[in-house]
Amino acid sequence: MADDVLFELLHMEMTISIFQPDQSESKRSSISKLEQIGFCTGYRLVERLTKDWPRFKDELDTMKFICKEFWSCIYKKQIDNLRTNHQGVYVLQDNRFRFLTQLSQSKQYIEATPKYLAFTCGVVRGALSNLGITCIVTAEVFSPPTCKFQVQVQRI
Amino acid sequence: MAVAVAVIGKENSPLYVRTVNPSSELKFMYTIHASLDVVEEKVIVGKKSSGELRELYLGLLYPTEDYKVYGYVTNTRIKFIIIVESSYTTLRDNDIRQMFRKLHNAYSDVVCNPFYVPGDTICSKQFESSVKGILIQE
Amino acid sequence: MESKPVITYAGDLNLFASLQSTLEKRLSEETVEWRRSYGRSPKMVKVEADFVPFNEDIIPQEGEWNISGHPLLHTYWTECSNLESYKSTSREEINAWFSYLKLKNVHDWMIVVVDHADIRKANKAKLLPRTTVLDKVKNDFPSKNSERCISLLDPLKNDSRSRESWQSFLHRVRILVLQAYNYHLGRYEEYVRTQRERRNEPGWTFNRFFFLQEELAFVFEMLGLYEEALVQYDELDALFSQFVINSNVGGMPEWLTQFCKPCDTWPGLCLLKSQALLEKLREGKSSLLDFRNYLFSRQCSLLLLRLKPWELAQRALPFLHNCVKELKVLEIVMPPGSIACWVFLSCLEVLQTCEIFKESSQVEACSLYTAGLRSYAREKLHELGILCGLMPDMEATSEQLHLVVSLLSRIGNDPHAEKAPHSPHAKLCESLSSKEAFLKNYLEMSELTISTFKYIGQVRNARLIGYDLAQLYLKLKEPHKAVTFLLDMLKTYQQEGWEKLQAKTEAELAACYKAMGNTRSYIKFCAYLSASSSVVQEEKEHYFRELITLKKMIEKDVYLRSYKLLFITDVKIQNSEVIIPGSKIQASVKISNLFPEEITCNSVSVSVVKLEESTVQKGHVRTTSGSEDSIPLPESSPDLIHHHDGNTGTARIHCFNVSQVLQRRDSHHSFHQDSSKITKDECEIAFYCQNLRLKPGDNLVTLNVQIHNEGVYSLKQVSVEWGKLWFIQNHIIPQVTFHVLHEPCKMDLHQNRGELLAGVPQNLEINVNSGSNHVPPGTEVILKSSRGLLLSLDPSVEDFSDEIKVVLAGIKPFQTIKVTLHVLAHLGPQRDNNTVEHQINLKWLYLDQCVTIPLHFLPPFMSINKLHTCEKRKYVQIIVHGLTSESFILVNSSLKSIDSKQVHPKPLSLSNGTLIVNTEQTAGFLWELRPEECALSPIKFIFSVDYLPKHSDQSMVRKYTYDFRLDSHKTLYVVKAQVIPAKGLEFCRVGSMCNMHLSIIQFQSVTPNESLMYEIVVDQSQWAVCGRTAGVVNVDMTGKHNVTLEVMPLIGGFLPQPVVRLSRYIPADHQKHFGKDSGLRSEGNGHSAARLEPFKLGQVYNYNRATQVHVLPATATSGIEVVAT
Repeated sequence: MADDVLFELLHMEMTISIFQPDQSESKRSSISKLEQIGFCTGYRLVERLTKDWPRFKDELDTMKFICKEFWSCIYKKQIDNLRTNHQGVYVLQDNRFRFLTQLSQSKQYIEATPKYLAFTCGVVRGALSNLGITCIVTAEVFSPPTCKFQVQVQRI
Repeated sequence: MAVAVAVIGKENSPLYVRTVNPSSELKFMYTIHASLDVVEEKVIVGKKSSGELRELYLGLLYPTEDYKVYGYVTNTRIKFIIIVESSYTTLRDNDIRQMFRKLHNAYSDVVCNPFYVPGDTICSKQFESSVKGILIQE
Repeated sequence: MESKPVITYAGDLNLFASLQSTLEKRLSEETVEWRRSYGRSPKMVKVEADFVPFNEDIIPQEGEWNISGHPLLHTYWTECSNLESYKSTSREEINAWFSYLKLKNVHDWMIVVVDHADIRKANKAKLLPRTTVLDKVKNDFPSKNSERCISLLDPLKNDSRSRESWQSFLHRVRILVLQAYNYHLGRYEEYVRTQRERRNEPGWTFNRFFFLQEELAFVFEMLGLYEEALVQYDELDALFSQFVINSNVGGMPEWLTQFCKPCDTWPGLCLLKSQALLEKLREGKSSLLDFRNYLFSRQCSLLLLRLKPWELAQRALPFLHNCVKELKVLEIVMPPGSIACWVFLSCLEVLQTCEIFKESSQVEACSLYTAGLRSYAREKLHELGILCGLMPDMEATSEQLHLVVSLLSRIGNDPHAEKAPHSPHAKLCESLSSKEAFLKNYLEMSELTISTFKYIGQVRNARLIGYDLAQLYLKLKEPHKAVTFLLDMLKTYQQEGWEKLQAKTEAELAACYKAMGNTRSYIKFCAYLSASSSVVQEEKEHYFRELITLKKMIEKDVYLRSYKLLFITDVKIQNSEVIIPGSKIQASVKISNLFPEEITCNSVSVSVVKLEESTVQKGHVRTTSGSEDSIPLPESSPDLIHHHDGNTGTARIHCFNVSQVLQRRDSHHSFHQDSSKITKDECEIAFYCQNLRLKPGDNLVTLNVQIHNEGVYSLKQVSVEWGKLWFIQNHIIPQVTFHVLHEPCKMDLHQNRGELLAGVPQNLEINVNSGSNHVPPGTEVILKSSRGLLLSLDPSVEDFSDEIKVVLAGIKPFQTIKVTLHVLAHLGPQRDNNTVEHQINLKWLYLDQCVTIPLHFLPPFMSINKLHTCEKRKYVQIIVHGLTSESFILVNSSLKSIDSKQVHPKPLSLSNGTLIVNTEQTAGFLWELRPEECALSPIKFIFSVDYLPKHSDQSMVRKYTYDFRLDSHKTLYVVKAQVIPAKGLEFCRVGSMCNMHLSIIQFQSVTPNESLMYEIVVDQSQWAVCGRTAGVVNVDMTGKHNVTLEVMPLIGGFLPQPVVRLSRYIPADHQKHFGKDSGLRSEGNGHSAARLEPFKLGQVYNYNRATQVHVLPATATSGIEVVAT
């Protein structure tokens, strides 16, 4: 569908235009910049997506929402695996992450993949932040297009 | 229909307060502010009742002789407060829910406006007109 | 009301009378499960009953609808024990009873046959009857599904059979009673339902229906089913409310008008049982309030039975609100204040009941709802206070006094009269009796309400009541008491950003302070109000004028928070270059003036604080200002990087500052500070500017500061001075920091090539870095070298000295200049490959600092000397090892003796030949010393050679000298040795003894009668020395001495000939004599042991060095061959 592709293309162009691979210092901030864009997007988006959703029971309930409805809305599929240590760390695994499926199916260009995850890290962090969960989201690719997002929640 | 509508932010600051009669705004503000106590009490996590109360609509918060104060809390901890006159007896629970639903829709539209910074007071014509639909026309 | 179900008894009345008390007592002892129709869940209930004798009138007529007092079960008792008497009399009697019941369509009956064992025993003589009386009875009076004929064994005995029998009997009775209930209730409920359906028909009255349904409630209550009893009342409550609401829109039914009559009494709710109210209700004379009071009191009593006092409180508030609403809807005429009285009384009644019934575990649940009730009661008291002229600022008129009397006269008698003065009635009467009493009670109630709200965490509500109290205190002319409440409110509103309410409260506080004459506080609030965005323009101006007037009057400084008054919204450090100590730092500051008019402030200063080293290192400081986030982020955002790990084959996004982002933050900080806590920091360094005119709105101002110490500085407190008013802003957000860099001048030496070489002039570069300093032109640097190192500035002239002066051109901060230096390290006699250590001292006159730079020079080559002997002739060899990869050319070698003119070594190598040394290549030189030139005393030699790096011109030639000493090296003895096969053999053989002839020849007599010691040194795996291996000999006048020893080869082949070692032997008593020369004196002086002294190099010449002996294997019998190689 054309509108799905539009989002992918837009994301790709955004990533390419913001990401600066050369200097290590600016690389750090360009990833953060992408994450920041994601944060604002997720923050606003979740307001709309939770509109018809009953109040979340707890943190895990919120995470399940992120894995199912939230993910489906953005990536047209659910997270394949959610794991937690019950101490504020959640690992969300997507076996066919949408931004990676068109990119590579092998490990050959693995070092180029993380920049395509930065926006999503931010989206998740923004959504959770608006839902009252302060956290850090990092990502890992070990075999494209499979990737893992790790959510580390602030403990009180 | 409502005599006052308010949107309260995450940290309990007013994002939007509108009353039918501007002269009574201050009076309702006191009521709205006080009703936050009940909102907090109802949605405090870890309390027994919160497990049961998973609906965003909190119902009647705060009946007074003259007014009924209804509350609604979004998943993002934005609170909506609607005040109706108690004498308005034909108003049913479902009507109130309908008002909140409308308000929530209008609010999520506001948030998706890139020029609106979440947490700021709301000044949007579209939102204003939605609220007008909820308030009593005098 | 409390009627128990009725059970009739018939038959043997005396028998029943004997059992009645036991029956009544034991019936309610146990609960029994009640299975209900219509799918209602089964309940455990207790069955109680009243027993009445049966008569024919007791059975209700068709169409009579009541349950209580209605006989549920009919019992027949008989003692008949033999069939004959049963057949003859009992059966008929029972039949009469039974058929009457049948006639009346009653199915709830029971026949009890009491069986006495002793009577049966009496009958035992007869044949055992085939059937008992019971069987007969069962047969005669069949019942469909339940056992309605039952025997009771020996009821008056107390044995196990009897108990068992009782047990099952009672159980049966209970079951049957409940069955009867089921039937009757079902019918009754059906009836109630049809009655309810007809509620809109004319002629239907609520009153009648009410009692109909209440009946049900009574039955349930009696059965202990309070929940269901309550449901009946709740249904009635809802039904009534619905009628009232509908009356507003539709027509009003006839019966409702009864409740709409003007209400002339308003007794409060009473939770005691009140028969009077019920009677009134029955008679249809009750008012709406009476009805509501009764209904709610019934609900309450059921709630209390369910042990839920808090629900009482929970229901009370909606109940009261609803009643008040209904009074309005039905337009019931009531005198002013009467409703307030009723509400007040009712509230207190519920509150007091809650107090009595609540358990400690329910305090919280109760408080949650009582708070609202207390608040409501307080509100009503307030209303009454105003109405009756009891407020502090009022004087009661005679009309108002009248009103009080008439209000109190219609509240009826105090149902809790025994509890006065604490009963609700007494409280109300007392409160309305005088202004003082009113005030006391009102304050008491308010305080109690506030504390209840606080207890349940509803601070905002507590504040709101505080607000009412503040108003009261203002009326009492006690503004100082009002202030405490208002300040609490202000704090709450400030924290949560309710600006309009904040402004309102501030205005009230301002009024309080004005009334109190507290100028300092008043001026603060004038300032806040005149700059508040929530205050209308005219008021702002009014407060501003007040502010101006007061400003002149205050004597001491007043500190104000500057946020939303005069505050800095943006700061930029203007300096484009690196800031060094002493530079002028310019900050461009945007000050927002929210006052309605321009003000001229005396000074603006922004304090500057040096940040601790640790915080700077942890990366908490962000030098960039301005936030790019459009969403307010309470947390700092994560610093992420793109990370690829080759080892694990994963690529990641990694976060650096996890702990920083996830740190717990205080929920409220920054601007919203309590105004009383504002103080001005004492700070030495501050951006400063004087006499500034600040227009309303944003003003751009440039402030300056000079800082003399290095460090990271942060802008902290802003203070704006305006007369005696100080506007203090504690933080600038985002934090603005700048670095003042101080770096010392740095000098270092830099060599172009890898290694410095000694003995060769080379170039060095001095790098002078100015650090954060300005270095003026003409600054001198003095360089001083250590001994052996020479310096020069000009490489073209060989003008080396050990101290030179460098004059520098001017250097700007952070600039580096280079000065080329020429160095030459002296190359002395080089016996090993150790580097030559030197250092250069740089003395920096400008900054009075001294730098010492160590330098290591690698020697290009090293030299060693060797002495070789051949009988009397001596050879001196000098070997030059190259130490660098760079090649050096050696020419013009010479060896000279320093102290002896007679010694002229004869060069055997070409004296002017050219040799090249480097790490790969070594040069050797050889000289011969003729025997006459050899001496017994040491001779010093000096070797010299000219050297030149291979790739440089001839002018670079330098001379290398190497001195050494040869000790007494003249040949003194010669040793000859020979291994000869044993006699008759031609060759040496393994395992056969050989002779070793040894001759020692003296060449030069040094000392007469010198004792010598020879030792045979062998490899013990090759040779065995038989007999002596050593011996002391004296060389006699012939100068020759011969010794023969026996040795035996142990293996075959060419073996090295045993070595003879010759040493000087010093006997014990000659120790002192020789000790001096040897230098090998033994440590202990008292020791007189003999010892050996080795000869010096070259003094003994061994002919047979490196000689080999050919040894044949043991079996062969061949001769000996001595082979010298």
